[in-house]
Amino acid sequence: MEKFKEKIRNRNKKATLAVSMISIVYIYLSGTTNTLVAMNDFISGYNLGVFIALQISFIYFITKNNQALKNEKQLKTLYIKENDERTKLIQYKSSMLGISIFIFALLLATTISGFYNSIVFYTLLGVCSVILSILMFVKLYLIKKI
Amino acid sequence: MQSKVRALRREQKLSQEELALAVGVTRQTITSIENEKYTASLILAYKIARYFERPIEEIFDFTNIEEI
Repeated sequence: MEKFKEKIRNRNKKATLAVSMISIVYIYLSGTTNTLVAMNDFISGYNLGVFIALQISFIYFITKNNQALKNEKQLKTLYIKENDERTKLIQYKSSMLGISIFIFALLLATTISGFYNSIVFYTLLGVCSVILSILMFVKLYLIKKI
Repeated sequence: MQSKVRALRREQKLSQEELALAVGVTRQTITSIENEKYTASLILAYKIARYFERPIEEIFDFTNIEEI
């Protein structure tokens, strides 16, 4: 369990760093780009919403981990929740199914958009190529690693 | 895969939650194993067998494994 405790502490450090980095980037971008790019209300509202949601998520994550570090029972529950083999299998299978459906839908949308708008077509084609390349590299990496 | 997990657990008057905590999985995993919806990994099967102090093959039924 000591190893897991150390893992949680490291996670908290990374999360704290992420919270700070997100704040700095958001403040910097909203201070500089708002004046340069004509941002409409929807985009700025969206950006603010994402920023707040990320901050709340990270703070919740850090608080939950800190509580677990102080309570052995909570720590064991967290450990079991994270390492449960059935949960891992469900996550793996749902990811595989989800990504397959997503790629199929993207390829279908790319093909259909080709009949209507060339900009949309090339954008979707680019997205498809990037996603398929990433998947291929990840697969090759895992084949070598495992 | 068929198993005697439910029978052994009831024999020892254990709840699913207690067994789950003892072998380091969630209660839902124990439910799935008992309902034959999920096949335990070798490590989990070993932990369960060790917990009940029985050999793995006595708890889990390997007779229906497909031969290639």
